[in-house]
Amino acid sequence: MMANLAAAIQLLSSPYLIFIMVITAVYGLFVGLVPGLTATMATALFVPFTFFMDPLPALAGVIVLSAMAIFAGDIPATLVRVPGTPSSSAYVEDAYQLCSRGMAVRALALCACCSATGGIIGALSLMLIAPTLAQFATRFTSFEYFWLAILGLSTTVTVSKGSTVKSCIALLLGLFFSTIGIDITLGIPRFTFGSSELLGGVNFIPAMVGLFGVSEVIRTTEESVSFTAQKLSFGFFEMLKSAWTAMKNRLGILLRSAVLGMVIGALPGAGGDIAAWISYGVGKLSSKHPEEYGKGSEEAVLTGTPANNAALGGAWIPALVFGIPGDSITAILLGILMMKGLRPGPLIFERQGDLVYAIYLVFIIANVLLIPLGYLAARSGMQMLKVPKGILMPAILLFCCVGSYAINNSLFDVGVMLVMGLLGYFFEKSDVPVAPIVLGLILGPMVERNFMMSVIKTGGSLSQFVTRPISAVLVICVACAWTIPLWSARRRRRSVAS
Amino acid sequence: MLARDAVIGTGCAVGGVLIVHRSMQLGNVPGSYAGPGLFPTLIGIALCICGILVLAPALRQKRKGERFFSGPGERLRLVEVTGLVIFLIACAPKLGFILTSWIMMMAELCLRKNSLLRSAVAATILVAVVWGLFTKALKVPLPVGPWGW
Repeated sequence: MMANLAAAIQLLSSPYLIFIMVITAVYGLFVGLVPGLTATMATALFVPFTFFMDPLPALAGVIVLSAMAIFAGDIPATLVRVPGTPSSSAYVEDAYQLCSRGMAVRALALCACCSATGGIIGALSLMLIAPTLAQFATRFTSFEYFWLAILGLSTTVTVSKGSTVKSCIALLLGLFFSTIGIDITLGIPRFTFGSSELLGGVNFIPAMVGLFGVSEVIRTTEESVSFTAQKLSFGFFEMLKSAWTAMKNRLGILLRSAVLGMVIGALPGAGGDIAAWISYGVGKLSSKHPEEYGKGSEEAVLTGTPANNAALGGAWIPALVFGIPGDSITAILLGILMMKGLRPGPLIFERQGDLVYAIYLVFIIANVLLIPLGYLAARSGMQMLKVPKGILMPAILLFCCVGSYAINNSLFDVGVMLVMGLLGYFFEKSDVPVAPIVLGLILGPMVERNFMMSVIKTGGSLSQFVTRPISAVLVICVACAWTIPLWSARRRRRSVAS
Repeated sequence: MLARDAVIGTGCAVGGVLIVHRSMQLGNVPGSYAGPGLFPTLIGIALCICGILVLAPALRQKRKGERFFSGPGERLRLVEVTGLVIFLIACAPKLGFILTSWIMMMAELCLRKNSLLRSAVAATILVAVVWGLFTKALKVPLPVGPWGW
């Protein structure tokens, strides 16, 4: 191990590698800041450059840019309520409400420091327990994935503010939108109404941009300037101190969120978006002040941000150990590994031990870098608040349109963004939360695919959904996710009445 | 909130019924109750139930005086944003991204009470930045007009 570590440190001392890491960090921050552009898209765009690189700089570039992009998505989420990436949508309301109260520095500091801490915990777990955790992840079959997705859906309904029935409506609409397009079992077009563009389904990125971004542009008029006077410039140590003040009494929550994010990230197909939602849900269920979630709770931000960055490290576990991608970024990354003649699997630890350790260290460096670079990005992002709303809102609208277009180079997606924006606007006016629609769109295909696979595998029998050990545990978790909030709400009502 | 709840409840209940109706025509996997229509059918039924749960209390209570828009500015914003995005979708393939988005930004900035000069400068800078970043840095092929840009 020590020999591998020493060799890895030597590999990392190359100035070329450091140059690539800095360039990709800036690129990742830019992509994360623009609503509609995702870390996956940034990774895909980076692939052609990796043709001319050695394996380590290519892999380091992907790791750094994805970590930066995931964090940078929190900046527009905090400042203008438009999540830069889907991973930030779980706690967008809390971060934005903090900003509205004049606590933008605190919110951004929390996002940067918690993301870095989560990422480092994810990296350490990758170093220490990768093979064991990967072994556990392989025990997940379609039954367990079905329940995991249901758990994610359950937490979003129970943690959304306001009426549970209205949250269910939003979630069901999201699930319905996810069924539009070619069906996965028989390949039949569903709800496409003869439109060839709908055959590919409703992409959740333009939907998310519309639901959060366009609805905000419509709602914000010059008269409705709501931000409390903000402090727009702040020092690096001031940011660290602000984050530490919020984190010091909640280190247990931070650790739990990071571990949860890493474990969910290690499950193939799950990823950072689901990790952030589940961690947010668990945070609310176990919180002493669940009523503050969704209204600008620091604790809520602290539950979501570490989880999505820790999931990045977690996603590498099945990728390195078995060659199974944990998420879309590691799927691209496996392609890069193959292209460079490296075969992921248990043997990679023996044959390319120095490279594997270098990857671990790159993860740690990327997350350490995230704090100073995140500071610079947050400070630059804060300048957005200086721009008059009469100019800022049209600029956001233009970025929303182009970001939605860029996903598939299709104006149809701009139309999807507009429809979702109008839906989001109407829903928010009617106290229906919009975040469950996004999660329904993300998790819908996972729920349906795994349900159909399980039903077809068992010839229609549903018993295995509850009799398999891991499934049974997940069923209990789902039951808790529904009953605990209802029970605690009832208890609160009784105590208020008495 | 009651009128809005009634609209949402009715919309969901009717939408749920339509989804179930359409899903039942999709067929099943041979020899199984499962098929392309199963999942949407379940969603439709659940949506219908939730719609009724929202609609019922809304109908029972008296309507209070409620305003949907917070002011005339918000109503204008809804129409203007919708119209401008539709304009972008319809005209970008014919006029190209640069011209269409410049017109869109000019209109949006002017409607947000910016002066003509300020709007022109801001629209030009915004379109140039977005075009440069997306076409040059990210290699996104934004629509071009007959004149090649």
